[in-house]
Amino acid sequence: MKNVRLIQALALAGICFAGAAQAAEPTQAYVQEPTPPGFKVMISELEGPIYTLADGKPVYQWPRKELRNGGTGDVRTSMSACDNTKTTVNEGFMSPYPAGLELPELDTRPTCVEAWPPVIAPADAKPIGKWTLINRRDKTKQWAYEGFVLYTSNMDREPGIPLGGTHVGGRGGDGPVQRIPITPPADIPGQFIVERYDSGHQLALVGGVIVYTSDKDGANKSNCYDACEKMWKPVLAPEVGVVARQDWTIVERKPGVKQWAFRKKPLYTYSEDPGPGAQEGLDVQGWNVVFTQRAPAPPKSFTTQETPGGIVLADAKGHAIYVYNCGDDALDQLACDHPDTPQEYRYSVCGGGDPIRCAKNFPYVVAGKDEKAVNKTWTVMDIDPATGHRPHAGTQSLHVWAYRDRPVYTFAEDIPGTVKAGAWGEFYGARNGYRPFWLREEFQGR
Amino acid sequence: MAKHLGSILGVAALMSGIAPFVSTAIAADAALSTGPIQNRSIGYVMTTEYKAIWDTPDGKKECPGGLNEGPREQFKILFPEKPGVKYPIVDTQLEREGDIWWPKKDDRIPYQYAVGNTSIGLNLDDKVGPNDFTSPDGEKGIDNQLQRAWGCVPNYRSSSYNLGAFNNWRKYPYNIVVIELTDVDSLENDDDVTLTTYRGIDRVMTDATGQQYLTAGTQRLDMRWGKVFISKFHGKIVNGVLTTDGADYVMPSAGNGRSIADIRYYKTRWRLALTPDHAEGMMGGYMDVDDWKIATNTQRSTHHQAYGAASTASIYRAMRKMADYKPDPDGGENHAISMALKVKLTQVFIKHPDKTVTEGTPAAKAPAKAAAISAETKVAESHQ
Repeated sequence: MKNVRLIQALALAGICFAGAAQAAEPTQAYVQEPTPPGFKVMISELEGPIYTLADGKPVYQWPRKELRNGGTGDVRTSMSACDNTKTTVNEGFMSPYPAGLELPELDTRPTCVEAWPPVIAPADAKPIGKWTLINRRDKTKQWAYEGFVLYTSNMDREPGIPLGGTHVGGRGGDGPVQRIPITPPADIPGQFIVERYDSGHQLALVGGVIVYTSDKDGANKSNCYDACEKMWKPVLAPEVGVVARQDWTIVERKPGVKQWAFRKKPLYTYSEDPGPGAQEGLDVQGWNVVFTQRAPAPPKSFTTQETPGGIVLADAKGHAIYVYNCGDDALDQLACDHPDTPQEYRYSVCGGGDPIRCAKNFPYVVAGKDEKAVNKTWTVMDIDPATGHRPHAGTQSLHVWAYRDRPVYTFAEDIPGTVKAGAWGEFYGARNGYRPFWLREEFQGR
Repeated sequence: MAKHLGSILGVAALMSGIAPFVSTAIAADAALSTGPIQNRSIGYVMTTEYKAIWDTPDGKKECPGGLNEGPREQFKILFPEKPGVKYPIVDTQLEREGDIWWPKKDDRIPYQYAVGNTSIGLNLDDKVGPNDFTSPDGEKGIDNQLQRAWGCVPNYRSSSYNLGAFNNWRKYPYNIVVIELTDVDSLENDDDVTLTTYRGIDRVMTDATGQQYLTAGTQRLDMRWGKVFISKFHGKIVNGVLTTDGADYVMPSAGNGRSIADIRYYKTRWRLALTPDHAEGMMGGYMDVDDWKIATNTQRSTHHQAYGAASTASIYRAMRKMADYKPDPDGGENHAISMALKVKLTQVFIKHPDKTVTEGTPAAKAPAKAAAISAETKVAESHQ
């Protein structure tokens, strides 16, 4: 019985990571746009298709966002707000704290341009399609996409791996003004959207209703009629105007009734789902949610845990895994969530300012002696627990699991099945704090 | 009390030949099997929940020392603006944020506790003790030490902005509390009923404005993720008021920040005035203070707390000081505080899960290997 339950748990979790089941997982299809020389599209295992420079460096935008007490970032079609000034005090964007407080580790703090070098266009560059040119103060021209000027990140080290910013695990309205890798549009019909979750790029209808496929259907053939059809509503395609797309086909259920199929699997919604974002159909055996691209597989020693809010990734002992987020409150909104950035923010919320207490409350997830990087997203790194930074020669270090080049953590007060530190930290953890690594988040967003 | 009162009365009436009793009994039976009461059960969904704090308009009686300062005011007191002085963020903002999550033992600013012996709530221990309160209408023995800790915090007083701004807590899909009364023979008087708590799956039904709750909605019960929220309470109904014995209860608690920090209430009791359409009254218990801290901090930012001048670090310290239940295993400090929630509920029809669907849903107590999860493990089953 126990084994049966475990199998069902795996099945009903509806989770599958890239590389876990088969060698070549399909990736998100994208619209090929006119692109200037010097740019190309690469497939990031986490972000999907992204624009990069010719050498593979991901390019980012920094769209302006209004925070609690004002906003920062770039305004569409305007000159870059990121310059060579070294910011020394906070801006007081995040109520209730005032502006003018001195930032930490000023001796090593980069300027905005040092952290986010602008993508400078050659003198003879010409705009094309969504790509335009915007003057900088020094009269050079900076490339822009959809009106927002472009940057690279000083955190990126490998071609096609954007470590400077991400679309995954959104931090909401009170998160920092983020730099995000720019992506070509997903090549999907207008009825659909792709939501980027920790588990992958998931397909939904516009408005957020989750779509499913059935194991009982054949290739481009629905076997769901009568009673099944009452519970599982076929996602119908328009009568006219359907554009041929990679991965998408039309199944004719009966004369004149056309149903969308993705990768040859007919698509449905579930009548019992209580609203957008709900995916209770996953608990019906034989039905699956749809990913246009699955997330990179986590370490083999990791586990999953069911909680009252869904399924989280957990360590080998069943303790929920947390990712730490941090952006500072300065005008340039630099990151503070990486081992090469100031650790004082993290120490405040994980240990009241005490690194030792912090390591006890939110322990690193130590990798086994023989464990190595699983992919470009889940890696192992050495950390000096006394500083939170990478170790210097001769200092003590831990060999820990990292996600996007940042250590992951567990929470000492959790037991298997709890996620007590979800939203732990300033502004629900969006500004300076922790978020759980959700594999199936059941209630939020509804 | 007889479980089939209507039937027994009917039989008795027939045997004694008293016709009026027959018609009354049949009518009672009919009422118990139609309308909101189905199969001797009735369901309600919680729509409103406020902590039970008693206050006066000007606060002078219960807060003679004034009201407590909030995070914004505390910051100004601790770090006053002075010409030429530049404070490091580590020693100021981050110190304050750190104190919220890991409160220090002592406050740097004096705390105002509510005084007097008037409050509202429930008698949780069936005793009248020296620290108990008396309600404005004379009920003695009320256990509500939260009154002392919260009575002088603007956030929790009747005039609070936050009370009005965040009165939709129970609308969040994660937070839907459903109670089911079973073994009900009468909503007026019944000395043996059972109250069971669940989490509901469906949104609470409202009118087109979204503000007025409607009766007779449907709530499916969450037996997939919400088993931790199921508790049973034995109770009785006297003159239309349900009271229950105490039992431990975990209340779902999610909020703005996508947190799921549930709160444990120990020795929880209910007292609800029942009608076929609504239930209203109190849920009292000993609230786990650390659960409250996590839930509050993860669901309300310091910014939001500042609207109600609620410094959660200071409040936490006060709650620990006033805590009156769940001592440390070594007999030290208490970790839970007596309190009550003022609650309103609206009648719903409860749909229990179809066993054919719920069978096979995983409890998954054992961790499953994450990397091993794949479509290959899917168990094929007919979906006809």
